[in-house]
Amino acid sequence: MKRASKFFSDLSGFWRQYKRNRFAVLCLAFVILLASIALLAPWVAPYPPMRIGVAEVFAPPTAQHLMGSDNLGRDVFSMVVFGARTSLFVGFLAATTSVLIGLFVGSISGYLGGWVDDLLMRISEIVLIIPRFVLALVLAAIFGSTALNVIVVIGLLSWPVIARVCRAEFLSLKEREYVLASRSLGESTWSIIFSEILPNAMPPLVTAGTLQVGAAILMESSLSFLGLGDPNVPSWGYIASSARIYIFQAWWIIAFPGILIFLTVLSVNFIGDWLNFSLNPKTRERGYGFKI
Amino acid sequence: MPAAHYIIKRLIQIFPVVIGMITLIFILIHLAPGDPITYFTGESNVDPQMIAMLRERFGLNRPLIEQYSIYLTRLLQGDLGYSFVHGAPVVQIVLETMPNTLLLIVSGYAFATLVGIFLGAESARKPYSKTDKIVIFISLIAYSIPGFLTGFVLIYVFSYLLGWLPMTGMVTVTGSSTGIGYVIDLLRHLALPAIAFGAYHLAFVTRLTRGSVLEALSQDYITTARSKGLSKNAIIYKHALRNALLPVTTVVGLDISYNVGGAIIIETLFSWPGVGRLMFNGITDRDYPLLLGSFFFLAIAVVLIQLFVDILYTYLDPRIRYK
Repeated sequence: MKRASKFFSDLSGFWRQYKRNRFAVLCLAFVILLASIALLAPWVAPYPPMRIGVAEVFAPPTAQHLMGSDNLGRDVFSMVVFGARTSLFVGFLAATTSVLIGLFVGSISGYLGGWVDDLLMRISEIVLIIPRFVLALVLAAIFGSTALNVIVVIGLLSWPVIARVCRAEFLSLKEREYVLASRSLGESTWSIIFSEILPNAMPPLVTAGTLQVGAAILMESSLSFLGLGDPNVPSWGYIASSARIYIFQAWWIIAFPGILIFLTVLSVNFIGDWLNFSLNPKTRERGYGFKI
Repeated sequence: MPAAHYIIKRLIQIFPVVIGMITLIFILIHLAPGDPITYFTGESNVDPQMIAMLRERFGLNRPLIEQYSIYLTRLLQGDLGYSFVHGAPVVQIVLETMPNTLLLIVSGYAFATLVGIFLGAESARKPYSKTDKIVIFISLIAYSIPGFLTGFVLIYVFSYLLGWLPMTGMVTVTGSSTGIGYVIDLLRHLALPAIAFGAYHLAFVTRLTRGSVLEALSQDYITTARSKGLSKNAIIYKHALRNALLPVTTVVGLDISYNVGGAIIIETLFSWPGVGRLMFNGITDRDYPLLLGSFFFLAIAVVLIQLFVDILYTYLDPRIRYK
């Protein structure tokens, strides 16, 4: 009970800090709105997203078809509404996968040190040096481009950044008194890593994790744009992909999903930026440079 | 020669990366669903005799470890497989298009790095001023925009609406100009894809330079320079920027492994005849050897560019040279 009230007082303190930037609040509102639209997609979309011929082919935006129609006469607005589902879902799960792997690798590496640290960091360097998107493309082409594969591929290739941030935190936290105290009390290594140090290492990891969501959404959309998204569900990249050929006939096919990807990634990145600022007492004192 | 020593050390460090990448490709070939032969030939029709020959050649009936050594030997001989779609060895196809990709990457990077450093330094001149806010906002936009949207907007505005620059390709097909005319034609085709490719990197460099210059401006040697009565320009561009550029250089090198993927999108959109477009065609044709071969060469290119940046770094930062 006491813990819960502390959580809420922390949260309200955090919110007071967070809402100081109006643009950050706007970004958060946009992401929440988008998530609700994605959740309620069947009620928001006026047409079934993949049904062919609900409109004329290449109909420009009108009141009936807010974002026009594509080369098969599908309603772009309905596809975009359902696309929010795929893009957010894939982006969020891919980022979660990479954060989980990164947390695991980074905390073990930072806490244990020695040869384990050396080995894990060499591996993360190799993964970091591999051209991520190019490999993701190859993997999706070979193993098939289902949503699950795309999530796994992005997750498996994006963890080193998180691992590095996590490791750095662990290196500085593991020598603190409270850790030494738990160690001398005979607490197990796992328990020290996950229940003593990790909670205190969270602030920079929250930021890094948020940025991962933006990067994952961009990566998914790029894969889909090249025809490697899940062909059964519309994602924003997939909708835009048909415009590769019809680029001048129908600007709306590429523009609307493109702008939505842009706004989503912008919001997520800015939230991450602002979290970094408001969770970090060092930068908080200096004042944030960007305010609208 | 401490610098040479450092470079040799870096070369040794690269070795496991290359081995790791080669092994990864081998694993991929064997993990792929179906027989590795269908994998090599893709879905193109290849007659059974050819398949038997391939099976023999790749030693697919032998133990895995033996196959790995065969694979390594082939690789050392410069054999990355054969593309049945193109009817030519993968190495030959990729090497033919590689210079075009390098041209796109290097010019996009050069543009983005130079403009980014300038914008970042100007932004740091007066933090939280109007210029600063505009620069940060633009970099935030460029940071979040998907590559295909940047490319599309550029094509739509500058080629389709205004007609200033050619839409696609690398040279005008009909014109057979030579010498200076050829170079101008090439540059006109290069401008839009290079800018689209560099946009993300531009944002990155701008943010980084700004932070780095601001950090440098708070150091003691800047106070000294200021008390000597140096102009603001001299302080920023001669004293602060030189030190601020070190972290920027590191990140420029690291960033390339991420950005190279953007080249595939840009090349596809602008029909730029490089490795990226080759890969895109490889996806539609299910031409797996070509895909993996392209991946291999792009990965090697990234490693080499990073090495080059590292060497550059040793010349910028004397502390590394003499460590």
